[in-house]
Amino acid sequence: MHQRLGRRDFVRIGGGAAVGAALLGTTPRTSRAQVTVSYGSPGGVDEDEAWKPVFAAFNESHPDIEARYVPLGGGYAPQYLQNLQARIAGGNAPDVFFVMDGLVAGFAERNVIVPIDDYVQAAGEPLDDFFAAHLESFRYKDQVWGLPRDGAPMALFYNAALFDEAGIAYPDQTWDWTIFLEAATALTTRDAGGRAVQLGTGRGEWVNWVWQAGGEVLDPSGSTCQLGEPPAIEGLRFARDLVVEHQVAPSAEDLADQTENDMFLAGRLAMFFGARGALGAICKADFPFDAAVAPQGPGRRMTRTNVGPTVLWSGSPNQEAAFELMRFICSAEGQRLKIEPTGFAFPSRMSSTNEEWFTGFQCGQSAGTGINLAFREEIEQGWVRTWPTHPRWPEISTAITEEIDALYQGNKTPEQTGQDAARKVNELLTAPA
Amino acid sequence: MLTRDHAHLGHRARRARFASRPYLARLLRRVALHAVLLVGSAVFLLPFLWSVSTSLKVERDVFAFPPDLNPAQLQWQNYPDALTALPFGRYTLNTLLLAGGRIVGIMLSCSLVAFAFSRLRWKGRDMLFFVLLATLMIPPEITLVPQYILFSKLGWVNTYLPLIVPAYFADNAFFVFLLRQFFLTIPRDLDDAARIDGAGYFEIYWRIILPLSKPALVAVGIFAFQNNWNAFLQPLIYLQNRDLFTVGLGLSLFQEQYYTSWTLLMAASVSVMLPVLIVFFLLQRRFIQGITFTGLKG
Amino acid sequence: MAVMGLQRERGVPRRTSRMTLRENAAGWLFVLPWVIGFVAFTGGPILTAFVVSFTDWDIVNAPRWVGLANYRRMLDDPQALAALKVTTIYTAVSVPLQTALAFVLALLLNNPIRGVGIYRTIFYLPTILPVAAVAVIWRWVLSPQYGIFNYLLSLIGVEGPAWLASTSWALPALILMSLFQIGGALIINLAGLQGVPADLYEAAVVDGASWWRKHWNVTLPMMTPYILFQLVIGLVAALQVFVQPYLMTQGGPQDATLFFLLYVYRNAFEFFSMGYASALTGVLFLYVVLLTLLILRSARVWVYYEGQQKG
Repeated sequence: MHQRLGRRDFVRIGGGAAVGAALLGTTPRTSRAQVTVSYGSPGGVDEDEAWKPVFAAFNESHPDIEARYVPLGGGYAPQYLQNLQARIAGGNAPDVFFVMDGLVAGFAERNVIVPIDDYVQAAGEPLDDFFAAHLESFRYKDQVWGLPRDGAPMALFYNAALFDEAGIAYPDQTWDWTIFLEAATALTTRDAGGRAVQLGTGRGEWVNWVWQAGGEVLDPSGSTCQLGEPPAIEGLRFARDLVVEHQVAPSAEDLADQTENDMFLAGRLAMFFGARGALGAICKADFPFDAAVAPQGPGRRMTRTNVGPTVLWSGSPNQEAAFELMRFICSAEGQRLKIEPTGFAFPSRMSSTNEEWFTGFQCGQSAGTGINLAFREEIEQGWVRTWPTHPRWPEISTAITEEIDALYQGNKTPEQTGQDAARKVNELLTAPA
Repeated sequence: MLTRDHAHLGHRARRARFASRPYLARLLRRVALHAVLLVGSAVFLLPFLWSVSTSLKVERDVFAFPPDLNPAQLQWQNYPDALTALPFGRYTLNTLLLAGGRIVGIMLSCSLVAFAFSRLRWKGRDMLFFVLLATLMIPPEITLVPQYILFSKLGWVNTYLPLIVPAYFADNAFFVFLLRQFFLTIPRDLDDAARIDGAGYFEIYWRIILPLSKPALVAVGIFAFQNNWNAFLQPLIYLQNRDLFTVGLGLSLFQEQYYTSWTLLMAASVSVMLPVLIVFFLLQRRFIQGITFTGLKG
Repeated sequence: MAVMGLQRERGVPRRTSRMTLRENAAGWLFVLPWVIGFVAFTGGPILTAFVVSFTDWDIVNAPRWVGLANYRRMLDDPQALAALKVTTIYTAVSVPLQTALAFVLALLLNNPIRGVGIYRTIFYLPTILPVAAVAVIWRWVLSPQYGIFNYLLSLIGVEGPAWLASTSWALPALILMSLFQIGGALIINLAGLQGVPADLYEAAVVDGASWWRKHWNVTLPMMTPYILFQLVIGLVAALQVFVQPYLMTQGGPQDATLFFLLYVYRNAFEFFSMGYASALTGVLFLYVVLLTLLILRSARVWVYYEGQQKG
């Protein structure tokens, strides 16, 4: 046990390990295809699987381009953005990549990505098959900066069994705030101690209620915040009342026990607002469920839609080929190849949502076609919007969220919240970049 | 043993006390110790138990409310599912290789540098030591991007080089500091005696200090292995090729866009923890009082 | 601090000037690996980060010089101050607690009782749980209605707070969590305890010392180098805490757990303000340096090194 390794042995082992690792690390260069382009996405076990048919099909139909799916690792962990930005700084970014909602304008402003209008024209690609709401989030300074690979609006998932028990009709297009509130109240039960046994609805995103009340976050020019205006305050009031007044939506304490998603799956939440991708978990529910369009507010019927932005790196050495890849990923065929097997995403093209593989999708105990058609209806009817497009959106969003937290905790009135948020945001909007 | 308190007692009484008291006291003490440790262990075991419990559940039961530690049915299938969903065998091999390369470098370079800071007197020592400590105080998030650009220019991105090479240059101030503290507790007389005998500094380091530092080196080994096993950010940034991934990176891939595969993640996490636990369990046996310093005068 | 039975032996031969030169050279030679590494890999990025703090940099484009603007901005930023406060409170409470707990635990686990290996492994376990798992597990443990913690509290008639959902209890919750991460300190203490000369304990016992006095007068002084280590490292690490609040509370509720580095991270990677983030880090760095200097200065009074050279 006390045999000492000689100094030379140490160096040998260490050197050997280092060399071995270095060898393992270097990738052999292939010299088959003319041009290589890569697509970056956070990746994950299921996501990687889903992309395989897409890249196989692309490589087959484009013999002069080798497309590689380059997951940036880490899954949808928070470090994706860090990873991406480091690579951009180091000049190693993928040619095409996925970036989160709300960041497109920021990237565009800083010339990290390039506008694709020219490529679109040259390729003769019709943009009108894409949903207008999605494309809007890519419009900045009168140019288009990316294409959507998917993107679902928030619809109202509901637990059909709980509705049946309570004898309430399922949500549908006739629902407005009054009916919604009535149903939520009837579906909320508490125990003797006042703790929630079952809650009627999830909170829904604050911005949905603001929009439904006719309010706005930013004015059309993007230079002032309008959260302090009466319609927005109305929306904030309704959002708060769900939690604080009527107590039909989870409080912060309730959420510390379980997220809304988990609550729904546990059969403790009768309704909740979710994107179609939530099906990935909801399909495992052991009760019949379906989805419906968002309710109609006093101002309009409106809900936020997610988008799956696909953008083109400004440092890409092969921009044309990269655009081809981007085009394919967002094409009807590309989307079908990715979405059809699991169904856990919503296509960004109108034509796709009319196809059988989409409309006929069923999973688990889904009780109707709502899980497909509710989402499509919302988009077709124009009841969807994306976050405002602004290069400083992350900061703006953080500032507003802090105020909303205070609102839900009951620490601020809707008026105070709206005005304080507007003040903070206006400061951000006028501050030098 | 005899204490002054018992001097006033008679001879036989003294012997009786001598016989039963310490034994009873020792027994009680031992029982108390076990009791405290058992309670503490139960508390510390709780997070792990929940991991294991989740790993054996069906996905649906993960959201059951109120949360139940007992899985409704033992879903052992989760383990092979999780471990085959990704090439964990390959990842483990990668991580071991990386660990091996790093640990050797760390042991060598950090102990050399720690020796300089603890056993030698040279101009600028204390100032440089403070610079070393200062590097600990700079959060890695800030140096991340410049460092990435540096390694990118060197062409080392997508290899293990950025992760291994710095280890041979004492890149870990934590270990240097730790070893320095340990070295400082070794009595001077040994060095001095050796120097009188004509030993060079390296000999003192290699023949005297290192052998006496086994517990500290074991500690460093455990830490280095554990850090490497769970490392996430550095491998994430520098490794693009999935084949090069480490175990820590592999685990993160269970987080999808709209959901996380909890049961698989937990099954994989538990499996992945095992090697580190085994390494620790084997190495901690060296932490038994009396291995070193027998017969040394103070 | 008088240590029983310990004598210092003097009689070291006087150094000749030649030896000092040799020792000087040797010192530099031994420290060379670190110097090379520092210059090659670490120094550049650190210097860059420092310079960046005087610029406006969004990572993706070239930095733009703005002088002291970032530092001035900090003075008007209430969130920066709030974040510093949160981090300071956390550090001031958790570091001493962790150090004390790790010390006591190491003393208990240094006994060759049956199953000690298993006990040690159990206390070490939480340190190696993957981060993603930890966040979820603790949410369950701290769940207001059904978490184990509040359940245990209810057994003694106390109604547990809303922990992570409460502005006053979220930070204590994180401090509580930090107490489970003492596995590392435990290892260090166990290693250090091996170095306490056995004859010191024998001498103490012969003098009739109880368990308590034995450890107070022998173990504690001998372990002060490691306690110093843990305090410094603990301080530095606590001031840089970021992942747990990021995953668990996102800084909420209402900035109650907005740790400083979390705020830095947001500015660096979500707000495209790496320059400001670097400036914030610069201030944090000075803060840490100051506190560390204080601790190191105080160490002259209470830390005892067996192998310390006099003069």
